[in-house]
Amino acid sequence: MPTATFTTRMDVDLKERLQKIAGYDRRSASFVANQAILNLVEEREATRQLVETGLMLADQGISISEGAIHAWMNGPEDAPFPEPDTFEK
Amino acid sequence: MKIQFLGSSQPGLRWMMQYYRANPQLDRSRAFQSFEVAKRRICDLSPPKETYEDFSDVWEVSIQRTAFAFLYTIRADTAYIIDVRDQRGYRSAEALRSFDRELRKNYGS
Repeated sequence: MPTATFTTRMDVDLKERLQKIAGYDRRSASFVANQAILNLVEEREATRQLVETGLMLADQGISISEGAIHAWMNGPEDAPFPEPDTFEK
Repeated sequence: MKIQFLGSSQPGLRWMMQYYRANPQLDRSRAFQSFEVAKRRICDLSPPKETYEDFSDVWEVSIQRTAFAFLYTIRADTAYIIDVRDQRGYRSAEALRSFDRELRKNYGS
């Protein structure tokens, strides 16, 4: 894949920590920084995809009541996530 | 306005719950209070001027004193919570994509 140079300013302390981790992995600091940026970009893109699916569900009117979510949050750790209980269309 | 949660909010809610369970030193009850306050803000106030990214009808409201935020949309008199986003970007993209694929399989498109 073609690469391009991207210059950024970074806290001195953060740069040292990054170089230390890169050293443990026998990688360049540039490689490790690239991986971190890639993770962030991919997480944002995956969130965006989820938002698009959410908008589709909102248009279909399929959702879960606030009470069911509240009960799940305050229930036991292994409680199953509530199923949709509201169908508005 | 009433609040409803969409199935797409599941990974975000699970991640937030897991985060507070895994970090007992954090004040979970205060975070949950902020969660309730943010929900009420969505109900009581008009959506912010700026939308999330370039979506025309998705807004983000931070859950104060936490790393999380609601992404929501509005249809008629209902605010639908789409996601509870970790603003630090700590969630696994692969897990989100896998959940999204499953959700789309179940609900079309």
